[in-house]
Amino acid sequence: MVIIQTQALSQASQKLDQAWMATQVTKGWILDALKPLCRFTSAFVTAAEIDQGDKNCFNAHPTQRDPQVFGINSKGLARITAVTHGFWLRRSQVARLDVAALARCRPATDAEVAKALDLTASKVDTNAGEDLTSQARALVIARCMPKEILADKRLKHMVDLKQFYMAMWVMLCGHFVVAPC
Amino acid sequence: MVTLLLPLANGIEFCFHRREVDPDNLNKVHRSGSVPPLLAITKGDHTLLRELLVILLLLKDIPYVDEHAGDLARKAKMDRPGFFAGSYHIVTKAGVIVPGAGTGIHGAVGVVLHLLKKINQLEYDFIIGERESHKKDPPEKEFEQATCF
Repeated sequence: MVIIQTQALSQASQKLDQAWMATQVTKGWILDALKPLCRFTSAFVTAAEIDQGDKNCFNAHPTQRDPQVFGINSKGLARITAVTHGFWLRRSQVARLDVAALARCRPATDAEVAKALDLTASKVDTNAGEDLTSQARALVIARCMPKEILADKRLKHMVDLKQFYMAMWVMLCGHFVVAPC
Repeated sequence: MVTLLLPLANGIEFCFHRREVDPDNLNKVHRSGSVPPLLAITKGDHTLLRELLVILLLLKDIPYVDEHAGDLARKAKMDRPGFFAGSYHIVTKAGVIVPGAGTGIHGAVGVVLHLLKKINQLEYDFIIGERESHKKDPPEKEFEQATCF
């Protein structure tokens, strides 16, 4: 019996995001996460296996109509490359984190948080310019965006410039075509 | 689908396709990051933006290192606040990560406290509750409290 992994591309991307929150990333875990992607590079898949957000990564088979099947296109291959590269890159980064054995800091208490917020509010007026707000916005987007963006070589210049909104938009919404008319 | 056609040389047109979708809540995330700072700090529950603003405003002269933004724990001239592997840490001059602050607003204030202790004792004392103000005492108060005679 063949068990078809549905929406595997998005699921692998979500597992990569989980890896960015983990302190340990094992080879076995990565291989398990990547196995479902093999199907996309070796077979035509049905619509049920494609997530709504991944439709631009697939083209319909030119002749096969019943059932309609889809083959991965260059955009999909680029995403699979980014996800795969992202996993191994992350494993390498986690392995190289140099964590202090003895020194430790501590979380703040509720009272300290309240005082810190009072102090922060008193500093907003003099510091909250366009630089601060755009930096904070970029960091919020960076924390929430799919982490495959950080491993996607096509988007490296946007990551270097901290243009994460544009990077997300290019990866997920838009694509550029130069076509003779 | 919105398509823009821009004529280029040699009969080639640059076709720019844009799908009218909001993948991965991109616009929602953009809006949540665009809340005015004072509002983000004073109103509502603790948010990610509030955590970041606390660090950026209280440690405005120290660069913030976030691996989600593509930063790495490299050597630098000073200790820095950072976010690695899901929680807040101190990144030392040598690039070593000091753990323990944890996640959320408590973690963000935790790393701020750790660094403020070295660079701004007044603000550190204010946050931990040992002072009533984060500003220097005026000379008048010092004179009132003087007990030389």
